[in-house]
Amino acid sequence: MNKELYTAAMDDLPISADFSERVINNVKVSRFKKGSISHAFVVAVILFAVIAVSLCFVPKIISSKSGALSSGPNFFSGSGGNDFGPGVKYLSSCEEALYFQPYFGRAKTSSVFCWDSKTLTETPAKNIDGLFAYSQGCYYSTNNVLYRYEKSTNQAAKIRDLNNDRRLGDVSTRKDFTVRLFYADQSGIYAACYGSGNNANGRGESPFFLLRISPDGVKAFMIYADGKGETGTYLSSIQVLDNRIYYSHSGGIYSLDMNGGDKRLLTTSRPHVLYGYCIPPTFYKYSSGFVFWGQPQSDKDNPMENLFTIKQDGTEEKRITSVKGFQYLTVQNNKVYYAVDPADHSIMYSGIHAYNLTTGKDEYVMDNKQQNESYTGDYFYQALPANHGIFMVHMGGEVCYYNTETKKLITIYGG
Amino acid sequence: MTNEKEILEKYGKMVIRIAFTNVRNISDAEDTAQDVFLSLLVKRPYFESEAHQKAWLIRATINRCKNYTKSKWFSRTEPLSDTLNYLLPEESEVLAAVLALPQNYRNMIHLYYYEGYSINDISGLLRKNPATIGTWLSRGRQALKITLKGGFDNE
Repeated sequence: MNKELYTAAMDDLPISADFSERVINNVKVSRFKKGSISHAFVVAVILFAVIAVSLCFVPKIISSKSGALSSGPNFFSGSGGNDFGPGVKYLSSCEEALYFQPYFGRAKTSSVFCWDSKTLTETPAKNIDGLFAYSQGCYYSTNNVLYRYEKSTNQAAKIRDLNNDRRLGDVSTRKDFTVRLFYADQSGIYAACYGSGNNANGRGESPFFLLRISPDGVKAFMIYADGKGETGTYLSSIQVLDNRIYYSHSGGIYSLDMNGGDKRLLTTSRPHVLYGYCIPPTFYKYSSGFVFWGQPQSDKDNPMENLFTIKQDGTEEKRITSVKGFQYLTVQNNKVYYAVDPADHSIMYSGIHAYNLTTGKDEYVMDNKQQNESYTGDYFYQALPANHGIFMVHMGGEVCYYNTETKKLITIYGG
Repeated sequence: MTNEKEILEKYGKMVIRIAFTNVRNISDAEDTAQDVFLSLLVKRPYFESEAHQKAWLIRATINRCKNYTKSKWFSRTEPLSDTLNYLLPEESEVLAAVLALPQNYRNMIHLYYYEGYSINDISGLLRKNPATIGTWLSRGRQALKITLKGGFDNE
């Protein structure tokens, strides 16, 4: 009875009829402010030009300029507006180099950028759907065609068109598929191919299959794993450690020989469901014979909680820390770096933390950006290892490098 | 979902009600809700699904309300208590009893009974242990049993 009365009372709350309208108006104002000083500056310059030209009595030019004035701030909309997510769309690092493609909706460019610890270069790679960095450059795929990019020449060369290679698997009935690169060495370039292409939220659809493409691109080998057609699962993370492929989906964590063969189920006790365009790396070598991973939270949001470790044969699974609020985690010098988002500030300080695998202790590294905001989605979101530190990407697309030795944070790309 | 008006129509009242449960004042609740929607619509965080977006809204609202109620401004001011004259006397009594509960208990009662979330759902939403959620809910119910005849009938 009281429950119904409470429901009725809540239904009758005197909420302002113009609430939605007020919010929309404030959003417009906020966007205009955020549309930045540069926009105001451009408008001012154009106005100045119009006035100056009008004073010079050249009416034809005035009419052509006036069109430019009519366009309003358009930071968050326009073409590519849907191509907009946290951080950057793709990123991969190797030693001192970082490759990344920003979201077009934010950066208005679909180019891949290369940071080599000194300079930022715009590469010829555009609109990619797979990226893997190696010591001399990166491999990338676009429209299922695999390319190799070399830093020294700033040029890319086609390796293989994978569009026909879908027939290698049992998913030949699928017309589309999307390539995600996850490893490369002398034996070839390794790709996970999602059977039905990239869906709206960037998560791979099942079934998926694994391919190894020879370095010269002449051959593509099917690696037999769940590519046989396992359905109802999403490949959530895949990585190579100690010559074995580790991958996860909602059914559990598996490992597979680099040449294929039977997959080995490591554990089903911690269903592992991550998602994202990049397939965030979540498996790491812990010590000889052990791997570890971060477990996503129960609401399937990006943040993770708990670090688990398990022996490569699937035994001795244990939790090594229960700290919450992981975003993308990364490992450097036996420390696991992770960001705690501001929403979890009640649990621990928001910011960058490092869990020391040797001592088993957590260390507070640095403040996160805008940690005073309650939950605005502003914090470091992605992280990858670098030679002397870590690369970190802010939720808003700003790419930074944090030197763990000098404790200096530098901005590589403005976002 | 990209249409701003659609998002506001769909979730506006829900967010205001959750904020009201926390700040106990409709004006402050609307201000807080406005902040939450500004964050959502200006910054456009990435969501996998509508359920994910809804969960974000609930969590963001509660977090903002906690910040607000902890703020020096809030502690130094006397909120303008809403008169509940527009409600039936029995509705007013129940609402006042719920609003008198500690903040965590109020949120549990609201999310469980009004929004219809299960304990596990709330645990996921607020990133808290289900046992903690169960305890808060149970304590909220016990407190209501004392102040309201019959309490909140359940299960």
